[in-house]
Amino acid sequence: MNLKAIFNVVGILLILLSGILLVPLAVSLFYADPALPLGHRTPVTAFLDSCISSGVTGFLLWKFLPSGIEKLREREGFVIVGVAWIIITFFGALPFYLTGACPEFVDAYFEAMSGFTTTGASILTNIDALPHGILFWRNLMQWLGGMGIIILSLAIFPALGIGSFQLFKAEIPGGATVERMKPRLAETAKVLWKTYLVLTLAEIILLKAGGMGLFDAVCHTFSTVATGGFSPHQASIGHFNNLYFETIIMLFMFLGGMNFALHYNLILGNFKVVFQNPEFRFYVTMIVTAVAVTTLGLAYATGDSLEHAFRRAAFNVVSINTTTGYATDDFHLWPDYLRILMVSIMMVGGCSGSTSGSFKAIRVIILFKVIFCELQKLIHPRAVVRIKVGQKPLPPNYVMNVVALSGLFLGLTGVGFIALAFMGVDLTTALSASIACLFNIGPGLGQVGPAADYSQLPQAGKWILVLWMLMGRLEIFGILLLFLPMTWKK
Amino acid sequence: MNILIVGAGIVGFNLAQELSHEGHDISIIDADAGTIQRISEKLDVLAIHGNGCLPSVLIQSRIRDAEMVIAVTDKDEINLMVCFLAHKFEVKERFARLRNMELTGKSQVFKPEELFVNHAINPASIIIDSILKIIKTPGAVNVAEFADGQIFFRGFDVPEDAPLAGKTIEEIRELSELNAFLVVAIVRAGKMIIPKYENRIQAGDKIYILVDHDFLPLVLPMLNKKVNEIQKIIIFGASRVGINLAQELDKFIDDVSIIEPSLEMANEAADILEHTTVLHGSGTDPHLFNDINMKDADLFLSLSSDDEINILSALMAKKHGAKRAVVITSDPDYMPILDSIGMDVAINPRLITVAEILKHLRKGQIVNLYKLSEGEAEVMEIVPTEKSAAIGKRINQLNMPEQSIIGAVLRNDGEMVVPGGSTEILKGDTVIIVTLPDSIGKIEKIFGKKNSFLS
Repeated sequence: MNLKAIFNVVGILLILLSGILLVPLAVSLFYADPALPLGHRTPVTAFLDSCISSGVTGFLLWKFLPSGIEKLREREGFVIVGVAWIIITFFGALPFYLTGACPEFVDAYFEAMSGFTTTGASILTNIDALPHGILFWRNLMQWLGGMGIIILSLAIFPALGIGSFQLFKAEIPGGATVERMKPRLAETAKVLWKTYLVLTLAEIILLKAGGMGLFDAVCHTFSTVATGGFSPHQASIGHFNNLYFETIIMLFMFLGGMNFALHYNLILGNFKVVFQNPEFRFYVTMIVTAVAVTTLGLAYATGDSLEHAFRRAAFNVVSINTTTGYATDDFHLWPDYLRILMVSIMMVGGCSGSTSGSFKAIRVIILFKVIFCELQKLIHPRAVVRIKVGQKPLPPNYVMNVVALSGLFLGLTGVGFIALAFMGVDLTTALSASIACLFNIGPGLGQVGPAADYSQLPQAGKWILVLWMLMGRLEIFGILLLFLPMTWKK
Repeated sequence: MNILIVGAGIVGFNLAQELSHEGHDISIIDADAGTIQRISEKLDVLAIHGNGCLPSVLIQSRIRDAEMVIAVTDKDEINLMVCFLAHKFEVKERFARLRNMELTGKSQVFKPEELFVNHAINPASIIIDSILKIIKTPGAVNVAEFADGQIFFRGFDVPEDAPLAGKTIEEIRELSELNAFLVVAIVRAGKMIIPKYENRIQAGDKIYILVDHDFLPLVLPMLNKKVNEIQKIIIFGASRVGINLAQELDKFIDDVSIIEPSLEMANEAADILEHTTVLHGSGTDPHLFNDINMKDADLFLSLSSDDEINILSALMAKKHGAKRAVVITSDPDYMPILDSIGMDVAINPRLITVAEILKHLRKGQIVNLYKLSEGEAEVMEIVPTEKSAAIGKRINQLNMPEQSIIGAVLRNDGEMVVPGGSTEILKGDTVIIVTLPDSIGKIEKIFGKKNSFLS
């Protein structure tokens, strides 16, 4: 394990983070944010201190450790990404802690992890009262984490591009399923971030045009395209009760849950590629079906008009399926079968190569095909079956990886559920919190439902969920590797 | 530049690595999924699994954006097909490795251009050329030519009794009144040293020199006292290279024999060859070696297609008294050990092909390039551009990187100057530089802008 080279790369990322921290600092200065009662520092000095400490640490790591990224081995790529995310989250959490927005460090770390992993689970109880800088930073973290801070650094520092396929693969949602669009990784990373920027600007303009304030528009855009779900308002999107905003945000949540390679193809005019993409078709079908069922269910159960039920169903289904986690309605109060439906689509998520979390549509398709293949083998024991998605046969080791990953997702859901229940959390809350964090959605059911937050959970439970969010974002294997003694052997 | 490589064997892989490093955008196609997987993890290139003869696969590999296609699969037919398709996709530069002599050699029916190939590379004919050069420079283990054959680059082993052994570079320069050559690299214990004035040459070293072609015969005695004329050559393996080389050798060497284990191939060789003795037998058979008087052989060439048997056979031949042995290995991983087990010359057809293609690619400012296997040093032939900072300066003003040396300067009028600190670089000069790869960037900076072909 080439620890020095690993921390050298982490150093570069910390320097980048310190530069990024200047943005919320500027926001805080602009709004002249007042100090909070429990705060150690005013928001401005808190951001300044975080920025300096991250910058200095990064500079020391980068300057005094030898670089060697060209020679990194596969596992070192995973370790870099895992370690980098843990350390970056630490520095990202500093402003929450220093300003007193989260007096307990575990809460600050939870909030930052929820931000970077685009989970959207919050422990903050009175969001509207927080300083602008802090609110802005929460949403900026989601925006950075959505496409990935390491992929951002690949786009900015092309020198990292040599030998960094491991990093790319370890961070991008969907892992090895993602196809590169350009021969060079740095170029691919640039295309991804440019597409992301275009989406972001488009949404800000559309929300602003509809009359939303600039600050709200920017913050909501950040967490929409990143499918994160933080809102600067306690009541989330329900705060506005505005059909136009809901429609725009729904549209961009949908786009955020799409594979960014498809956006690139849309820009290039290859519409055929997009509509023939099996994962995209599955994604659309799933959303349409879930919206239809929910609309009818809500109309029937609550006597709501079909039109109003559709509005509630569409927004919340898209929000949950793309793992955003915005709410215009408290689905914890919906009929039981709809609550189960919401939890199920949570566990599928958006497309690979998107900003959404969760298991990803492509893997669900593969799992179905594996099951079908097994059935086929029972009928024709000597049949030769290859698992294909679209026209493309998948290598067997890749299929194995998907099966193992699904086992891990379910297994860890169970572990988290039991651990939380053991700490005295009620069963609905424990199960849904474990799912909502591991699959990077945010709101669950019960005590952690859309109308509530994670502040009441026991401290140890919060640490588990922090780990669950990180595992969900980096698709488990990369983080599990850190716990394997074999990884650290020479 | 966007470059598409078809075939990810040793040649394809090395080209992709080299070219991607130099800033080109590379796509590479191979029919083997495992190879593609390994490449996409190791190199920053777009690696596509599929059949390179299918237009759909070529489109997926971005052939529409490609400015150059390099077809280096192990089948001539596929390479031709790829170039044909590339022509249809209007790719301007099309390279193909064509092994069959009928497509590239003297007896060719069609010129490569007629087959939609701009540059046909035949490793066999390059190998034959270099073996012939080695035979014509007794004592040399490594040969290349620069400045259109004006300047010779030669590598030699330094024996115990060589007049040069034990002298420093400075002493050699004072000693050679002709001042016709410069030692540009020393390989000692597998490590390459770019020599300074105070470095001393030791027996057992391998040295590389740059010398004016007219003076080569005068230099040879300084390196090796008894240079024998080559009279008897034994070749193992009636491969394409073996047969074609034997045909060439027949013209000026009296005693050429060729050993071939397969009766069928031996018969075929006997049909083609006129003077050469063709023997049917194993390349590791001591009785056969005795029968053909291996102890008198001046040169033993292992040219079969099997690396391991080539090496064993050459070891046996040396044991039985062959004076020098030349081995061909297609696996570049064997190269570093061959020197230590006493092989005099090792040739790798794959690396030769890579070097040949790179040479074509870098034409323009960097005219010629030769790769040395040890330490992966490179010999570059550069014509500095008019705007270059080097023009009009003395060499000691140039701030050359540590790991490099200007080995020769060829003036406009064809006179070779052995450079010293006070030699001035003039407009129209050709400069030959030996360098380790780390310093290539600095050298490009000194001798003018990076040429536009590259960027």
